[in-house]
Amino acid sequence: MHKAPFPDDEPQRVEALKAPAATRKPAPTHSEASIHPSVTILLVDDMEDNRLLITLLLKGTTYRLDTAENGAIAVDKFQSGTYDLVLMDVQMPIMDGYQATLTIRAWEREQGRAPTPIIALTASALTEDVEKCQAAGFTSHLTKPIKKTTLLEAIPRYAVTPPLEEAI
Amino acid sequence: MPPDLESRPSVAHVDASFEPLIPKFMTNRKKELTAMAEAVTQDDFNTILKIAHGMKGVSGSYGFPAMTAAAARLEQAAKSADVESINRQLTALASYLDRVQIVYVES
Repeated sequence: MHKAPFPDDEPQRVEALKAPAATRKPAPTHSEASIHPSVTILLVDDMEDNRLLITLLLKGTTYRLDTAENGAIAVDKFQSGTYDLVLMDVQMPIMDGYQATLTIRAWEREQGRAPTPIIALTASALTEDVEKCQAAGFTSHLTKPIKKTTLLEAIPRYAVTPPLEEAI
Repeated sequence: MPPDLESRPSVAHVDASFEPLIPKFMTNRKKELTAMAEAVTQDDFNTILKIAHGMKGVSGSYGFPAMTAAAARLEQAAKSADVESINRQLTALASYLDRVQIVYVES
């Protein structure tokens, strides 16, 4: 089992929500993404159609996708699995995305683990919602509807790259 | 007579790669309309609010802007517990789902 090492630029990633766009890591091209075949993503969304759509958008990429229907299931899966990136819907029954992210961040601190990037999938880009995402510990956010190009640019920008030997 | 949501022809331009997902998408939206019609008889505005919010998001992602707009109006109507407006939007959405013509476009 691997947990991604703490890369030198991790603090920048965590700060990405606050940082101006220009200081962010440039999005690698899609071909660069394909050299890291073991990037594993946890997709959390209560709506089946949303999960199926994201699954479809990632078809043909080398990303491995696991899904969860609400925040509580996501926390369970996160604690028992290994993920390089989490894509998290915000409004969900049982446990919403804010609570799930707060829970994951607390657990990571407890375990002494580096924070895994968690990207919020939000319905609006209102300042209030973005601030709420920051406060909960989300790394960044994407506004729905999510376009394929946006998604394929965001994943390599934020995903923790697994160690190379596991990528081969 | 001015065109309204019920009588206006409706075409949705959907990404061709989404085609395999569309039958399930349509079935799930119809189920949601049924659930909201049931909820409105019980003044369960919170259920309508949640379903309409989800419908707004998913229809936007799939490429049904007319549905997205109607779901947003429905969400607002549920927020203000406006039964008359909720029923109007539910009728409009049911009609839309029955007659929408999907044109698949290559991305």
